[in-house]
Amino acid sequence: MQAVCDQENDERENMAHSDASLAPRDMPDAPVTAQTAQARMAELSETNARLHAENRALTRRVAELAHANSDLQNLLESTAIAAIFLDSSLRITHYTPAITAIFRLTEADLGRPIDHIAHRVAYDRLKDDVAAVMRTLAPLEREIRDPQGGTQFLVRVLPYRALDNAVAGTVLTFMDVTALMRAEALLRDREALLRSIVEGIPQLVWRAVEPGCWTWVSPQWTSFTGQAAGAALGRGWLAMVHPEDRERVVLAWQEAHDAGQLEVDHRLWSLEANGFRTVHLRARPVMDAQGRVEEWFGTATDVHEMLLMQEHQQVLLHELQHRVRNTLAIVRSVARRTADSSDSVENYADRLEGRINAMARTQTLLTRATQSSVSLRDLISNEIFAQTVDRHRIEIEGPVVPVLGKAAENLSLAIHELTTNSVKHGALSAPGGKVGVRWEIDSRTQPDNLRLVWQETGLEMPVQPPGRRGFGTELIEGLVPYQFGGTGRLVFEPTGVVCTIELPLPSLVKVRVSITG
Amino acid sequence: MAVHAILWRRKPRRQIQACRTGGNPLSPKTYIQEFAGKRILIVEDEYFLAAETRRKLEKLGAHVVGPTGRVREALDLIELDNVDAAILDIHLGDELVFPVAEQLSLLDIPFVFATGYDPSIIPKTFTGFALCEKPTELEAIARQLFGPGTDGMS
Repeated sequence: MQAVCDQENDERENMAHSDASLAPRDMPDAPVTAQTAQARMAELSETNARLHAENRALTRRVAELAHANSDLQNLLESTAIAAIFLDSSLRITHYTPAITAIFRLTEADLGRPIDHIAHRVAYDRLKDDVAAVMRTLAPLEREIRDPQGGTQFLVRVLPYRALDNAVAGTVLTFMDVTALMRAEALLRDREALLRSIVEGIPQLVWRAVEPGCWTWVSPQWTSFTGQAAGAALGRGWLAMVHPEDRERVVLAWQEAHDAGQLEVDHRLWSLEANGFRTVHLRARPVMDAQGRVEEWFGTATDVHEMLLMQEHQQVLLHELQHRVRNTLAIVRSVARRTADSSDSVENYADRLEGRINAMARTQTLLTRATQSSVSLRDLISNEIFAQTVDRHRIEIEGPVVPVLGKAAENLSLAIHELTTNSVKHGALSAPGGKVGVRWEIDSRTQPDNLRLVWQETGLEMPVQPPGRRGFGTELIEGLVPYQFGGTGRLVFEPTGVVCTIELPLPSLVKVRVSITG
Repeated sequence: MAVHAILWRRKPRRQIQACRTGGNPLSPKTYIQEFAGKRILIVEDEYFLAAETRRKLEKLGAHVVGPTGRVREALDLIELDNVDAAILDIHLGDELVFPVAEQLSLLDIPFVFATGYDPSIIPKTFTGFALCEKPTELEAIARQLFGPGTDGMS
């Protein structure tokens, strides 16, 4: 612009010189002769030709100036930048068409102060901002909003410098940044979401460069280990790994590049547990466009509880294996004993089924019971009333005593045998017979002793004791001492059977030890 | 349901091996008759299992020591009763049989673990001993107690 202006000046100067040359060189003091007239004519026509040439040059310059002006106009319009030019008194000197979307401007408004023009943006400080820029000459930026359309504008206020570099006013530009702001807001939301996920998951999240050099770590790391995020960076995190596991973890990192992944379990210090907990370290490489490893993104997951549960499950599985094996052994034993004392296949089948049913009932009781213990009362009544419905002939009395798995199985087999015998040959086989089952706890001994008495009464015709040691007798006199460390005695009194079992109370709630590692 | 017999020795002469029931097909020799006249300790907390094993062993002419389901009693029996060999259950209710195994090993008395458990539960203390999985049939147990590569009880 300046250059163009300078040329124009030169042009004018040249023209000034030309004008000077048009003036008569010497005033006609001498009389005009035909010769001089001719000379003057020639001179005039020469001047005329020069004038024409000058005029053409001027026309060309004017066209050039108009062109430049129109370029500028087109540029302003094509950028769609809404701009408004103000003079030092805040009067509008010029504007671009795009501004009419914000200010209701027409050609007629040129020369009017800006604060007289209605506009649709919430920009109360416009006048103050312009005044401030005029005063300080420092450009100013402000974000404003169109409250109706929701459009967001970035307003720039710049000083307008005239040719002599003096500040002649201000230029205001309005840029529609709605899309940009939306994208930014979206990005912020996404970032917040990502952050809340990364910081919300129970895993400890980190980023690293090879090999094992951490560059970032999530806050969970600090709350888990107590180590500050800054201290964990680089290889600082290794200090929180169990000393015995460090070599393994470092080795896993060395192999991670070739493997394309990192998977290793190790123990990590836990502030809350005040001890080490097992975590599963897992990382995958993040590749750049060329497929080179840019960094590693990884997590550490607390698998301590899971491993304990797996171990517990293994113990339970072993326990189950053991019990199945023992149960089969018992069934085998019971079958053999039943065969030894049966006189017909039918008789054998009946008695065997009765005994297997007794075992099955105990299993049902144990399965239903919490803590896999049953009460001694339930166990006894369950067995007796499986074979008789005469409730008034049975009396069961004693304090609450819990019985655990194996003890319950053995005791109910014993009660089953006593009941079977009573129903077939004893008190429950005759109209007047009664059965009383009573127990008490003797605390004078160490440990406490349980004393249980099964007593049959009311028999008119006492049964003959069986000639050989039956299965019931073996259970009471063989199994009770062996399994419970107690004593068992089965006596055939004239009034009926009397069975006395004494055993240390803890043997009823004995818990099997588990073998781990 | 696989029931396992596990043998361990302090100075294994063989690598860990699989045992076979019914005798080695290459050698028709069986070892079950070796029980005859021997004093065999049974440590087993399950009454029925103990009674069954005792019956079988007595039929084979063995003299049964025990049976017992308690560590303390088993140690007493070893001390008092000149045991030739032992069959041990691992779980004895609220205690484990390992102190008995240690004592037998100290006295160079052969023994077999007879358990329904997987052999992997044997504590690390007992690695370095030959382990052998087998159903608890007396033939398999006899092979482990009296077969070749043992301390040569005969």
